[in-house]
Amino acid sequence: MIVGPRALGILVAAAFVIDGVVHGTSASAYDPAHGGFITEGNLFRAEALAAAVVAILLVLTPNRLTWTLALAVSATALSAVILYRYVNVGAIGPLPDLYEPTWQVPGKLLSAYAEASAVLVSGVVLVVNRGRRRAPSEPRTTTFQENQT
Amino acid sequence: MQRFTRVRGVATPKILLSLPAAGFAMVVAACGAIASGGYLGTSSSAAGGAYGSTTMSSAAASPAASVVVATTSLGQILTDARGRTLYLFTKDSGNSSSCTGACLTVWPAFTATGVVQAGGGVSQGLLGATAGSSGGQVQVTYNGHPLYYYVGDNKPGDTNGQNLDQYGGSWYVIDPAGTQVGG
Repeated sequence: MIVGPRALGILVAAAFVIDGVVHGTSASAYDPAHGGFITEGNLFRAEALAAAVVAILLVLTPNRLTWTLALAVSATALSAVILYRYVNVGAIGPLPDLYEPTWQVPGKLLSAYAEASAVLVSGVVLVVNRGRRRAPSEPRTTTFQENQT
Repeated sequence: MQRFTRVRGVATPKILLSLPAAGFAMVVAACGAIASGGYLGTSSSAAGGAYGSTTMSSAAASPAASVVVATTSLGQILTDARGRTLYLFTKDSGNSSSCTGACLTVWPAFTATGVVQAGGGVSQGLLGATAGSSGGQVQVTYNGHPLYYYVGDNKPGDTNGQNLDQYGGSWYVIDPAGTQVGG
């Protein structure tokens, strides 16, 4: 079942590509000198991987689960970047201190824009199609894609 | 003009259906920022947001730079004349800077074009300079350590860059004796 026009999936996938490229190329800058597993650099790589997977899924199978995954990944990333921009949370258990009180880092604001766009579009697609599963017996009227005119 | 459309029998404002396109427009706008030399650029002016309207780049190239001692929560540390915290980078070898490219955008070099003045508590003999990698300008050193600002410091007294692991090394504030604080 396709939820939302396939074109929207491709466009949001592009946003995830931007997000993934920024995180992937920036990851090495956040590798600590002493190494480690749960490091800021590896969290960046995880975000890049998640963004790549979601981007592929959005292009290949833009269904409700994929859009939900897109919303979850983008919302998590956006929340984290905003939180650690303005709040010095400090280290939480194995999670390192990610506090970085600036938007001036190359690519940071760009990826935040991409994440915000993904959150917005994913959320709207899910809201617009929220009634689809509740009324399976309801006769099909029109698809989301057909309503774009 | 029809203002509502029906999706599975539910009336939906057309404006709601147009929001996804508006969201993507944000991505397009962000891409425009790249094209105009925005966030992926590595010019030193990218650090200009710190310390209000006074750009970090112009301050970093101050012809009459001076190093002073300030008392902070980390103890006595070196700052520039305006109270902006100075850092050393553990990856630097000798007085040669190993911070290049994007690193310099986040950690602008503390540079000078004239004689660097030592404020009270600062040893003039420990002050020096290195050509480094900061675009040909002379980067100020202290006890052999090239000095940097951190773009995340927003006001005098901020030490937000302390003990950060970035760009292959750690960053520390430096005390008047010329050694790193903490770590």
